[in-house]
Amino acid sequence: MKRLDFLIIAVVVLLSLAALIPALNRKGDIVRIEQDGKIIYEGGIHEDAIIEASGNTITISGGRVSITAADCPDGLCMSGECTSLHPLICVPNKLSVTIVSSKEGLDGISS
Amino acid sequence: MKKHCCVLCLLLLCSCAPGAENPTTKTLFAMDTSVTLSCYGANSAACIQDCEEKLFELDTALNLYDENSSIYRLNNSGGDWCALDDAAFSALAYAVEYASLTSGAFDPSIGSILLAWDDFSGNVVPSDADQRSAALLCDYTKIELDRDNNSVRLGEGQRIALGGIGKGFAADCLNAIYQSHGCTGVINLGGNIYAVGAKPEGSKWRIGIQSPFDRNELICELSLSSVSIVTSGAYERGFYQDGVYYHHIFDPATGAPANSDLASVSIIHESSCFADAISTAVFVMGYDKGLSFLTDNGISAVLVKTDGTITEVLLETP
Amino acid sequence: MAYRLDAKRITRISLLLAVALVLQYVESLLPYPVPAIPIHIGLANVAVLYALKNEGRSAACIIGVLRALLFALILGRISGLLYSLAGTSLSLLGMCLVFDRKQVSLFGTSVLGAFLFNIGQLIAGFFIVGSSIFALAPWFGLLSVPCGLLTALAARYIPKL
Repeated sequence: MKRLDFLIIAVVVLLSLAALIPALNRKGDIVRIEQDGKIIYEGGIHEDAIIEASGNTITISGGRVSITAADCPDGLCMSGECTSLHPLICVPNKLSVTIVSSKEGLDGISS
Repeated sequence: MKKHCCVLCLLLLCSCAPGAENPTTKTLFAMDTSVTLSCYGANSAACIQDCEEKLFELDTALNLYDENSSIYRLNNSGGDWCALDDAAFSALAYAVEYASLTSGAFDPSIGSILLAWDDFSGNVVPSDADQRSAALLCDYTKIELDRDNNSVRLGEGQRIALGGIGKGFAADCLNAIYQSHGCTGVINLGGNIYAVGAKPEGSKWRIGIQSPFDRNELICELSLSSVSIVTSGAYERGFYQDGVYYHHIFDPATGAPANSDLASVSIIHESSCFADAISTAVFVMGYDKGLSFLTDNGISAVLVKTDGTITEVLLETP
Repeated sequence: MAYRLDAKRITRISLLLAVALVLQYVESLLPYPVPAIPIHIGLANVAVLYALKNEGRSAACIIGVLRALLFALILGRISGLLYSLAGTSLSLLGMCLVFDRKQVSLFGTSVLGAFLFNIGQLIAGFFIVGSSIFALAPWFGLLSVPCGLLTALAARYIPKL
């Protein structure tokens, strides 16, 4: 291992951690489900709901979000729970489930 | 050779990006506040340019402290007829109309009260007597309007201050400019919002109402299109003296900051000028009178009481 | 020894390409090492790294790009082609630039390659799924370090053919 190797590794780690910062700041209370670039559902994380998207079923229950059914070949999206730090993405169905804070994506605040 | 192909592939990848439309956004300082304009549409650059010019024009025209404004001249006309420029006359005419509608809870001649408080510098708390005499001068019924000549005659000792309607009036002007350019977007004049049209892909704008108790929190979020929302609250401006907090929303009847059980009032209406005036008026009226006024007149609003209760009035269900 | 694209070299490159394809296929059958994060160790890159070290840049690039193309075509995984081409191009670009510098060893090259490959995937993902894919960015980045180091280790200690 040579000198610049460590630099490369350090830069990679720092960039990754930097990308983590916005996720850590989120208070995460709104579940946003997007399919094909369009938002198809947005609701509070504490509002229990079952959402049927094209090819996937997302269940929000007891403050937890997960994909409970999917017709995609790898079924990868069904493993794991969605958190503010970790979205669920089903690539074949172009679906993404993320948890955002309620102030994110606002077009304006009246005060 | 293969390396060049790799680079080419990469460039090709970047070039076929789906067009998520980006707005033209501009933030500037005008009308004593921070203004943010976000504009979508082919003519967005020209639209923003025109908006900027309009803002600076109105900044002077409606400003009672600026010697170049006709409002300043009016306030110094000593009771004579005074011709105003179009914008100033228009704004004042609306103000008088809304004063009448709210039975004086909103009143453009509040300038006399402002004067008693040294234009709200924070250094002066006038005596009760001074407050009362200033309140007597605050009377919209004594303002005479000559619509044919854009002229106004004030009652003795009266002083006009359009602060309670200025931003709303400006927002309406900017909305017209957006529409004339075929643009949509969000106009934000220091918290006075006009949601012009809808988002490019058709969905409504998401506008939050700031909590009067914690500036980092929201009371609620609304989906709006082609409408304005204006919020008034004691928290926006004020000063402390001897342990007492004096806020900037005066009660025309008493000459002092309104003693209201409301923490904030948000009005949703196609006319931002209307929303601006009514939000001030309802704050002064307090919860009970305000709520009756709103329901009687079919005005959509969100009221937040000082005890934290939130009341939605005539809001559309999305 | 002069660099010559002779029959022996072509054979070696083809063999490495075949190895890369097999490694990629085998890896695709295995589950992801970290659950719910779509990152493999990148065993196919062992062949690319080996080629970089012993056959030169051009060979590595040929193997890298052809691997991505052939894997998609032969196994019918066309949907993944955009991702792997994006990742491969960026990765090869980085590795070729950095590889022969004196202060960089195969390990640094490999980590950089893995990192850039993942960035490429994120960018491709953005065009398909939208900006929410960038929430995976920190994991993609951090995992590229162990994966890169592992593949470099493998490439280092495989004896010359």
